[in-house]
Amino acid sequence: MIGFWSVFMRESQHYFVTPIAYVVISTFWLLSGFFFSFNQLFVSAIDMVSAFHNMSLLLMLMIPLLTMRSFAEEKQAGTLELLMTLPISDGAIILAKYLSLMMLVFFMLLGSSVAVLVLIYFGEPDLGPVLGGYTGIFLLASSFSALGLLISSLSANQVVAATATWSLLLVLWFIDYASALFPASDLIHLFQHISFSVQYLDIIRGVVTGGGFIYFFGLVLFCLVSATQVLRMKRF
Amino acid sequence: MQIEKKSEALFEIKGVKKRFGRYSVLDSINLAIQPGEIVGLLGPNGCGKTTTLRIAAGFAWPDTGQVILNGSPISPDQPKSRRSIGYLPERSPVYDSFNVARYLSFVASAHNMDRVQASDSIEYVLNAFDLELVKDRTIGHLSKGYKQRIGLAQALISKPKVLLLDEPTNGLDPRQLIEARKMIKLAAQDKAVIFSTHIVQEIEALCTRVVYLDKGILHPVPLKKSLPRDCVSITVDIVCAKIEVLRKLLPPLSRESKVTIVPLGDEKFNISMTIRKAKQSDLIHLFSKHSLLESLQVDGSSLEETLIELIGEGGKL
Repeated sequence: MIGFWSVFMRESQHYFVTPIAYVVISTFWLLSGFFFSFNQLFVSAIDMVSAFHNMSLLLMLMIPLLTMRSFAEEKQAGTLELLMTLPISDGAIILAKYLSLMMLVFFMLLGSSVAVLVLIYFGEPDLGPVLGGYTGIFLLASSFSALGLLISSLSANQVVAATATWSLLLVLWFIDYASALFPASDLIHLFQHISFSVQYLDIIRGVVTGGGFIYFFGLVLFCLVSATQVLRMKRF
Repeated sequence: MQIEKKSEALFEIKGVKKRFGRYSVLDSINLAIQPGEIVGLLGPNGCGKTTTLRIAAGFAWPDTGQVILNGSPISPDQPKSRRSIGYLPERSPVYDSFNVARYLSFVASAHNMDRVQASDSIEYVLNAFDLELVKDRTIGHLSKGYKQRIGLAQALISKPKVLLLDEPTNGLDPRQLIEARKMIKLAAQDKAVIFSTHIVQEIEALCTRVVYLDKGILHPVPLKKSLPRDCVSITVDIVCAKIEVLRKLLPPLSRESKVTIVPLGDEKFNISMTIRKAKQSDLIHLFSKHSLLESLQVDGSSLEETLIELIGEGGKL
């Protein structure tokens, strides 16, 4: 992919030369740590299922704030035109922005894994569900990021991009509740198949199925390919 | 109208058309540029100058036609085809969060330059555009003039064969303007340059050729580069028995003391010279005193006046 590394390095450096990375990562660690501690101390939870639930909500709130600038900020500043006239392929731009964002998400989740060390120290947790949970959280974050990137590529305004991303994530999270409106319909299966919460719940409990992986990878692939096409359409 | 095509052009825009919805912006424009040429692209707001440059830079697709560099087509789908192009968009966008050196390093890396090449090139443009002192400063904290210079620097960093500059001298102070002109002229020695601007004086100062974009068509504009704004070119036909007198008296009035006297026979002469406008009356008095004036032609048109002639009310365009 021509020009991938230059865009990847630029995006990654941008996160760390501005306050973005420091504020986002530290806020995530602080809040996820708080929720983990709260569950351990007041709910007496002995696993991380609640922690993963809380992390997923935090990611749903924070990832759109990261993705909103991916393209909307560049369009506002005029740098997207410059980027697209450099000898860099559209696919490389999309992939580089996505992977640099995932690198940030990786650091966020890595820091939160301190909680696992606490569990190991004070108890004997079953690490299978823990690993499954982190896998599920990472897949969830990948999907959130890909969706956010796609919406940012469609918008010239960061606030609009963030709001639209939140809305879509909420719809996809709760869409399986809509199956109550269509009790005897095939739509129930469709809603359950596309719902984040249904796909993600099995994985965080350590039940890893091919269907779940296909769902998340498929969604990421769809969003990245679509974002590449959106970028390509800007050239017409 | 088609611009005369030159053979073996370094950079060519051939038969390019572009519409946005029902609005036709470019209607089969053709432009061929040789190395060392600086082509000024003039036109009213919204006429399609930026669209032309975007298509030339490989950012946008034309509806028909193509852009060719050294015999190879430039295509938005082929990033490698853009490696020899340096492009400065309007408003000179830069990444505000980076420092100058890091930003230039990013552009060099995007052009697939190796470390040594990139380092040498960055050092060269930092010195050439007087950015050495601010190379470690965050771009967002710099003035518009500095950002414009950084924009020019990034366009030149990959030593491109073609330079496409959209309003490159916007926001520069007089000293920076002179430096930027110098850099563009220096860079253009072996490059094809297209320079879009609203400022006629910039065209006069820099360009070897001028085209005017109007209603989607490129029109050539005669460029009288040698005539300063305070001078006129005078051509007279006189009958004079003692031409030696005029040979002595005319040069002091002429700019650069250059007077061309062509004998036409029968004591008739054709005289051409360039003089300052303030000296016109002295010259006419001299001719009246020492000769019989048969015809007088004064040509003081600057590029601005030529354009007004072409595009003004009743103009040829």
